[in-house]
Amino acid sequence: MKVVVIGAGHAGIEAAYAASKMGAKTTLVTIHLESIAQMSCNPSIGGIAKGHLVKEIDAMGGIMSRAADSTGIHFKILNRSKGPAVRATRTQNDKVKYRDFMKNFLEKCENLRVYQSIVSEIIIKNEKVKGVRFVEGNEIMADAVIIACGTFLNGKIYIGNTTYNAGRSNEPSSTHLAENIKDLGFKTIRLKTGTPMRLHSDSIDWEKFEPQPGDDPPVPFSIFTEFKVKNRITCYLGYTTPKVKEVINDNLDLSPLFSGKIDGIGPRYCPSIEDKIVKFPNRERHHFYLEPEGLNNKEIYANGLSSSLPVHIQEEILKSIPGLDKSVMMRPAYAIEYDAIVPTQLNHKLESKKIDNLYFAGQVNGTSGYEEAASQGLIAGINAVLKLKNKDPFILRRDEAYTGVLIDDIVTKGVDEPYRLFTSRAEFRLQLREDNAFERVSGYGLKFGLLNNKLFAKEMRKLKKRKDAINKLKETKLKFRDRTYTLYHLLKMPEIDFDKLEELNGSKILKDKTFTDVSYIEANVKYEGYIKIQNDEVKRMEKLEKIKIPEHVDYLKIDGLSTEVRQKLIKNRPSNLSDALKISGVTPAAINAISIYLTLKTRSL
Amino acid sequence: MNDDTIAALSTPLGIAGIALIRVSGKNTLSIINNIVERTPKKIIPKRAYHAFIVNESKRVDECVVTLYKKPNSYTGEDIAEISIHSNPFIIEEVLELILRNNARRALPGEFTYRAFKNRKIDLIQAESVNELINANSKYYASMKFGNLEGKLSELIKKLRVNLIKLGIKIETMIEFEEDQFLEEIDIINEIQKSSNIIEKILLNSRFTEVLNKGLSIVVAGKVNVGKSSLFNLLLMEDRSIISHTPGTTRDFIRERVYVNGLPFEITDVAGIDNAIKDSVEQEGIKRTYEKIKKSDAVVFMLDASRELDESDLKIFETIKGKQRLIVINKIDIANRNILKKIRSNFEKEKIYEISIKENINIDVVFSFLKGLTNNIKNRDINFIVNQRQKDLLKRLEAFLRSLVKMSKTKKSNAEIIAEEIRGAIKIIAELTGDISNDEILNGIFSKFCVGK
Repeated sequence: MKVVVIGAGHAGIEAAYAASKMGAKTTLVTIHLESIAQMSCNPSIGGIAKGHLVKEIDAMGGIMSRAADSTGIHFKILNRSKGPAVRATRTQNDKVKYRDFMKNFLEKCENLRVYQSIVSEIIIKNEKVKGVRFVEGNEIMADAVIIACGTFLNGKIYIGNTTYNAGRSNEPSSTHLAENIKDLGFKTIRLKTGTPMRLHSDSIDWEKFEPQPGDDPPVPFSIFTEFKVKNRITCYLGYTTPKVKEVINDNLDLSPLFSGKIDGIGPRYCPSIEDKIVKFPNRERHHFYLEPEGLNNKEIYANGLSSSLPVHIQEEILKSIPGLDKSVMMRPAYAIEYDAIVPTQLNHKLESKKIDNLYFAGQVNGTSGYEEAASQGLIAGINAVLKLKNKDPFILRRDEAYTGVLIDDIVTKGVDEPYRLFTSRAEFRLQLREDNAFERVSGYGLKFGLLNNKLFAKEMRKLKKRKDAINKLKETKLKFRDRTYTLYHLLKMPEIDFDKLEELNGSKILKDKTFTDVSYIEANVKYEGYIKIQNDEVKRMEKLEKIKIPEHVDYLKIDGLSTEVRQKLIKNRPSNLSDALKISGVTPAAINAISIYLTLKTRSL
Repeated sequence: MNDDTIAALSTPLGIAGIALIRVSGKNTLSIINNIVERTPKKIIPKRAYHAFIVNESKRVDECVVTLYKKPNSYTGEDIAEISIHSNPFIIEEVLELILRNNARRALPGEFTYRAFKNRKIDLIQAESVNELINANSKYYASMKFGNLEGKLSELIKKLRVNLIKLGIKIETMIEFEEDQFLEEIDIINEIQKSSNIIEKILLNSRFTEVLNKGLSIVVAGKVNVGKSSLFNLLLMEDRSIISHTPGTTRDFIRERVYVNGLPFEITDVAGIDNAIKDSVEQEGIKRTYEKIKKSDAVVFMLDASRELDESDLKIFETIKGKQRLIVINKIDIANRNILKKIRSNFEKEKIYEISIKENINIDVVFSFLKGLTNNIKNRDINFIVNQRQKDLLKRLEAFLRSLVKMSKTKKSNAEIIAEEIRGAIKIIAELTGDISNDEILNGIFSKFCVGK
């Protein structure tokens, strides 16, 4: 079994690692060896919904989580004061160390070869992948190919009026492969994303900003991590000023976004600073964070100050912010426009529907974010090998994992802007939590050989400890406000959390409790009722899945469908009602129309 | 299959002057051209034309035909409404003619179903059609019409907008770690308002059964006091509309009467005469007392020309605690002493002196009946809900109450509030039919009569 992975970004790495660990002879191709695992944007891993993905990757045996812990210099749990479902881990990382960690890790992997070159063509025969060809003319034969080339397809950088072709600042874009992919018949969509400027640490007046220290004690991402992680830096919070607003408004015509030069559709959620000024004209200030990019360099990432304005305007913006008025730019902010493939051309395995054994993973599918890319890489890598082994595919459901939500969203609904994961995308948000990622998906990691037995057993013991604690809560009673309650019942009350419960109990309920222990217990108690309701939802969804739509159904004959819904159905040919519902624009009312049509049809037979 | 042109009789079969056949679908126009003979040939939509139905040049019946061109019709398709004589043979012949011209018989509720799926009406409105047709009182009908006009839909849609607004704020809080939440107090107040309205609707819906079936009134009194006259008076009084529902036992005559647009079920109970020892009569009397007990109100009649006796007193005992109107009839031939005795006996009661024969003071009866319905005619709520809607509204109200409570608690869990919002929005979608369990959908439309 031979697998080739094109692109050594966050998606490519996970794909290559998984494939090689599952026994395939894997080649990881990259345009630039030094840029393996390059964090092109913010020097951090995780965040809300993204942290959830990383925990899932970890529980399935992927490596992003381990790299995050090893190179983490600042650890924080977001939404700490909110409920367990929305608590998320985020690390700031040393970018250089992160790359080194990954490169070293991969170089040591059995069955894995890392190779620097540029792919010019995918070799296809009879709608099946045969291998890849490089610009130098040589070829590698492969049974499966995973394309994870990120923003490199026809990438074009924009800084004000200057544009040049690049996959990333100063790295060549991939034009041959881009053309090849189009020639193979894949539809693409032009997207854009941006990155803010980097400033020299010494040129910033740190006193003017609010420190955001890491957690004490810091909580690691990975179950593999045995060492104690440490906070080594502090991040800082700052605000733009009315002068910044003025500067931007006066110079909007110089922004390629607003002058119409960029056709690509950019993310709404990672807007450039000029985007924010225009969209929120009543706001006098917008916040941003100053994040150190590493321990051994002086680059500071200005999170929130993305821009495609010309450099001299960027400098004026900086001058208008107290504390940054004397700052020196090390790299300017820029926007990049690139081709992504329309992900509805893929199935849930991330394999292309048209060509066997050709997979796409990562930002090339129209997603944004390292974590989104990494999860896709892991799934693509696992599926590529499973198919070659003639085994059943690995598809996570929406009620099982955020990874499932992500993949399901993009392959059934497509994307019209770079897809970023949010917790609100998950109908089963209360069940998809960081504290139960292990419970949900580690079984798969074990099954595919990505997680070792020893670690699995260790985590299972921790899980048992938590479950035992919950049972103990049901058996212990306490007097509270003149009434007797079980500890379980008390914990259900919104004003009581686990710490408060131990206080009321007078003694510890759990020895050496960890943050995850607490979250797990709180979630299972406080969310119990809602989870029950959601399980009914799952059953209903499964029912819909069982209602199959015959292959040759004539959508033109079904009344009650709008023209565009009809077109989408004809295009997508969903095989059951559940899949039909997932198509963007198909409403439950349309599902009813189809369902009634199918029922009447059977009745009339 | 749903492409077919459908046809059905839209009026009930039975003795009536006119029968209305409705045709809907793409073949409507060609059907009309084939079976309707008229001059001039051209038919303008929404006009009524006098013409003849012909079968191969033979005239079958006179008719009046009106065309509605899509999408400006009930179903959103081309519609023809043909009025003919309500003779079952003619009706059948005309239907046959239509069917031969490329149409089929409509399934129960299919016209309204088409209106629904062509987005002419939403589910609440669709259900209202059926209930409008079956509505038994003018008032109920006007409320149901309120539903049809979308008043309930409007309220629900407004609520949905507020829920979504709140949902967006909560999701932003979660995704972007913000903490300013109490600014949203306006949205919460709006949601509280909607919750209160729904509570009122639910309270009010108690009365819908009453409004449909009618308040039950018993006219009680001893033999020959004038009950039948009162009864006839109510039935013949042209302030009320009569519908005949013959009584089933010889002990009662029960009629439905409409007063002020509201239905009453008036029962004229057998004259009570305790003196009669006949066992059958006794049985009848027992049933009379039961009927009185179960009624919503009683009109107790006394006789101004005869002494009070045991029967009067016994009846009065039975009606204690009930809403009642006590009248002394035959005031035109009253005996002053008897009057005095009656008044002193029922000292604490309000008693009206009337004469049905001489038309004296009979207004008090109508005022009494009207008065019974005043607490039902709550001006605030002008729509009624059916059982399906009631169940959904109860669930919705529970979500809203919980939502408001949680939003006001400081230590609230944003993600739980978000779940409550999701739940509420789902129920709203079920109410308006945007999501609905298709069994329910099928159930709703199959309850319709054919031709609707």
